[in-house]
Amino acid sequence: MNPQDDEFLKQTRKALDESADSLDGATLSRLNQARQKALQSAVAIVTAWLLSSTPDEQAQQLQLAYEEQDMDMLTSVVSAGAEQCRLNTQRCPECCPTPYCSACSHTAQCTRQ
Amino acid sequence: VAKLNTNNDRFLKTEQDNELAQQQALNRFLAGVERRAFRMAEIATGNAQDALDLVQDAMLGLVKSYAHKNEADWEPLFHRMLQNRIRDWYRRNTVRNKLRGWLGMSSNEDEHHDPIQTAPDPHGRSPEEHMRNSDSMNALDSALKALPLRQQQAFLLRNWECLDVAQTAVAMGCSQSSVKTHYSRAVKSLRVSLTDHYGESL
Repeated sequence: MNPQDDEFLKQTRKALDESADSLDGATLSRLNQARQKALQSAVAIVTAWLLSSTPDEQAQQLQLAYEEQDMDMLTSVVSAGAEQCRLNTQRCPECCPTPYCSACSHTAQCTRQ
Repeated sequence: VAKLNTNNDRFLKTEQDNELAQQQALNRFLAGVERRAFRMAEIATGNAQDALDLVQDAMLGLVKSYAHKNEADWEPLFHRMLQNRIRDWYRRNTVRNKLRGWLGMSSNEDEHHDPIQTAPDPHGRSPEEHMRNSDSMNALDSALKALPLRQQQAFLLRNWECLDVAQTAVAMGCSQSSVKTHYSRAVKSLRVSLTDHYGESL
């Protein structure tokens, strides 16, 4: 690119910036709504993850990770469990709100089962 | 068991804190990019309503699929999602636009006057300056819309979003050499189209 191109590109950037800065209120409001909607969907995903549980075969690993304070291992175990249990999570009827997974009978987080 | 529960609670608390921080980072990122994303989609589609839908869809896609990625990766990933959606829209509407052209119908026919457009300029520009800028912007808009979609994407991502060649290639889903070719052709074409508006000051 030559210096003339640089100047030309600078001017086009400026014009585009101005057009983005001068969007009307209705459009800005819609963009804000779209962003909030997207972020709310993230909250739903996180909530599902937090309420999810791990399968039985991972419970021992989970306990070991707790005992050794191994956060990396803990994260990987819980994440792996969350993938499997995401759709099967239920509340424990006896110690609500502790979650457990009805499909794989994971009870590592529930003290009364 | 008590220790297990305590650690469990601590772990969940840490995760919640991390997720909250990620939410705030996502909000900042999306707020920073949404206006330019909307303008890109609007230039590509020529339709504000479709542009808003495409931007919202790209935002949802980013949050759903890539929120866990490194923050530095969000920009090219977001643009890839947006550009993919623009391309899909473009394919779907090619035939419809041709028909519209043959029938002599304008896609802007049903647009209504927006009273917000007549509000005072928040940047304090004079009407003459605004008119000049507006003329330049209209000319640039038309020139950009006249470009082939890939050139338009390469130009906006490289020149406006300031993505480097590699990031632009990721966003466009093509090779870096293709990005260079599209970008070079776009600049050349725009210089020719916009000589009247930008040429005098060069």
